[in-house]
Amino acid sequence: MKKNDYSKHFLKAQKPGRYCGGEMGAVVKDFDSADVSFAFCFPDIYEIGMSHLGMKILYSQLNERDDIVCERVFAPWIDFEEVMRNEDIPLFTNESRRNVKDFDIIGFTLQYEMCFTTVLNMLDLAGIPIHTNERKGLKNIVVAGGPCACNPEVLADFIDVFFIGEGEEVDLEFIDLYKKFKDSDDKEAFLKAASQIEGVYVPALYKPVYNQDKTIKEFIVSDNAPSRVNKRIIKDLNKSYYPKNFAVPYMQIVHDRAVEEICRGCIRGCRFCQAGYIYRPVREKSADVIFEQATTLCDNTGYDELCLSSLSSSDHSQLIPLLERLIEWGDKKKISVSLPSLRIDNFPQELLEKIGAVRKSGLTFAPEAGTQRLRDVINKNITEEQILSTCETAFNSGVTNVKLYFMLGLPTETDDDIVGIANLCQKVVDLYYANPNKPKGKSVSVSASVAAFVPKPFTPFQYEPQLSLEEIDRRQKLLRSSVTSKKINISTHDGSTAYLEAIFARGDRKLGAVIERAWRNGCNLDAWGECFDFNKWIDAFKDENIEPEFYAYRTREYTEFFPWDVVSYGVKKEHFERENRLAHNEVTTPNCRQSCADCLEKCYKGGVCFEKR
Amino acid sequence: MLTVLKNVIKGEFALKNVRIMYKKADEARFISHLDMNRYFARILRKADLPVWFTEGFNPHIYTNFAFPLSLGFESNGEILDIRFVEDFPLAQVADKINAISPKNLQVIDVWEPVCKFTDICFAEYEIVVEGNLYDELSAFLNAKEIIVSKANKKGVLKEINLADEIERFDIEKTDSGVKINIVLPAGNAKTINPSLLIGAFLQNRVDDVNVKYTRMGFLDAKLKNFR
Repeated sequence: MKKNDYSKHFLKAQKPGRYCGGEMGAVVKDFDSADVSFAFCFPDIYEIGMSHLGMKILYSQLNERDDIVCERVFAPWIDFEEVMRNEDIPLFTNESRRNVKDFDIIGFTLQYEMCFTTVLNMLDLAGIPIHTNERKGLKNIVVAGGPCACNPEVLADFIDVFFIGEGEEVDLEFIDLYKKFKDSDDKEAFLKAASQIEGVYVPALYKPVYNQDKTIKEFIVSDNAPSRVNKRIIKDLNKSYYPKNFAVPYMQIVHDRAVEEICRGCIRGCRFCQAGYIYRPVREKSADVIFEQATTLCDNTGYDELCLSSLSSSDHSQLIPLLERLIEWGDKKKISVSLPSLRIDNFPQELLEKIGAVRKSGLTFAPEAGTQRLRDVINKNITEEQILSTCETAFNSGVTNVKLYFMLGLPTETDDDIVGIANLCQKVVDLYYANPNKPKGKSVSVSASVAAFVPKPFTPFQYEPQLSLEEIDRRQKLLRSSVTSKKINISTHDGSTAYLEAIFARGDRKLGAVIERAWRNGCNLDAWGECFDFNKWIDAFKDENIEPEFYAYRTREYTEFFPWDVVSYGVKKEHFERENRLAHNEVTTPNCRQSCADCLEKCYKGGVCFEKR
Repeated sequence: MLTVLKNVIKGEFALKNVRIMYKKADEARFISHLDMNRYFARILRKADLPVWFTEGFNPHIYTNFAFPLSLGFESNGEILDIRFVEDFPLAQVADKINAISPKNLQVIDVWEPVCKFTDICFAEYEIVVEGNLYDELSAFLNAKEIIVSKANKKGVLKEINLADEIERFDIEKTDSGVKINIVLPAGNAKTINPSLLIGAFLQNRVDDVNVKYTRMGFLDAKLKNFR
């Protein structure tokens, strides 16, 4: 089939490389000889989507099957979208420039709440009706997965099927089932059967019933669908699919390197961190498998940088020997190895320098809170001593820039904690000047990036209210006024995005109308400063008669049935309650390797729980 | 052929200069000049050729492009120089790269450089214009004066007469429009982008006209193929 001749329009927009495809490593298959076609949509622009590992894994995996064709779709930037709407060009895939509407299954990965309007916009650009009940038959079944699928209720009006948990097995099971039903075109029968696959949530079969106070009373479940959907996880990462090749972009993207996932989950149990809870139990890949996969990927892509990816790489039990082996290999091939998510206290100095953990450009570290008291509340088990010794290590390696991440608005936070951030930064500055080994003639720069805290579902803080916009503002001002040194730079963001994140993270099905209204008002690509318009969102809430404060500012009772309780990520709800109480008592919980907190509902027969302690 | 370019001596061995000519077609025309650098670094690595890495803090594969190509242009003869650290049969280089390179970016020829990039004086372009514009374009290109404003090296806008800059051209009518082959200055001293010329022709038009540019190759001061 001849490609749609959209290319004559590409030069009307910035960065035509976003739309033209043809990358080395992209998988182009014969559409007509496949039994099932899958349009994998990333609800943001090319540079962001092509930096995302999850999409690469599933894209490669689906295309390994001869009977499946999977092609990539990214959101057009606003300039090209204007061209598309003017010229009647529907949303098309990168590989074959085929209209997304021609695909059987349309899949979205939900990485961030601010991408929800982009999901609607992409469906609309494709010419696909945005509501589930407007889509009849089995053509254009819309599915979604990813971290934001943990609260599927918010997008329930638009998505036919959610995948809860990790996608590498359930996606194929789902597609195999789809193959069986495709000819019948019976959407109802298909969805009913799909709901029987573990990890599949079909909103059409679940009806939320609300109390007078607008909290959820219960879900009415139809057609034998499970009363609660449990997540899927990959038990043995060593046996799980991993790509041997990536589509390598021509143009500059955000993260452009070979990426090897080394571990899933995190042992630390920081109470604000959703990822740490939804990917439990921690599962490592063996050093041999990592080495094999990483080197194959580099050979096939031609990348000169390899990134080892996980939530907390330092906690991989074989990290040091693995790194030594990879660095030796990398030195020969002139490939650099990088390791984000690294805690560098107690790390061999020579290795640190080789992996660029202490790049001359600087050290990045996340204390999250300025005082030990507040760090204990959030269970970020790092002492001031460790923070300072880490900085000392960095300074000894010639680093002069330190970037520290903090949050503002954490539960039980007081003004003392805010001032504590300034004090901690000052201590780092003082440490630099007290260091006899510091780079001569150079001054230090400590940047503190302070984000407004957003309480997330499936964390011990899912009960907590977010700080009001006024209070966020006041505390930001307090922080700035507490900083006296010119060497310290505080960066904060406007609280409005965090406010919306807080609403949609813990929203219910009623918010679908708000998202749609906001999108119809022109909201799209809300993660981008140029596109985000807070007033349009406030108007959308007003127009739909929904109070945003109910979602952002309300303290939840321990007994409340949350919208996201219709699915489960394996962690007992009692565990979240217990951790929340401990938080308010300023008591920490040891990590999974130190002692077991008995957090899981059932045994997954693998992972860190089974390691000898 | 006498090598005019001296081989660089690094340490114990002489680096071999290698000149690659490649085609850029279809989607590849949307790859910017900076992106091409990144692209070749990866393809050369993947092709497992004995390429030389620059020394210093951040070693990378040495590449040196002859001349930037405007975004959106195709080309039948882009040129880049690399260096090998050991003897390698140049006849095999094209195959090694083409086996792994997308079909819209293929190597046409590989040889030991003869001239320097500074010897490039002209570039030849093929311009395909859609629409029944043969008579108008013919008149335009044959005119004694084609005045446009062009920014000089200092960024100051000056008026120049493009008619003086056209080294040679021919124009023919095709089924869908017009095909022009044109030689324009390209080099350190002076460069005229063909889009400047066609832009001047199209400037007062209301409708969208489809224009396709393909660089055919580079010429030296004597209008001989650049080698």
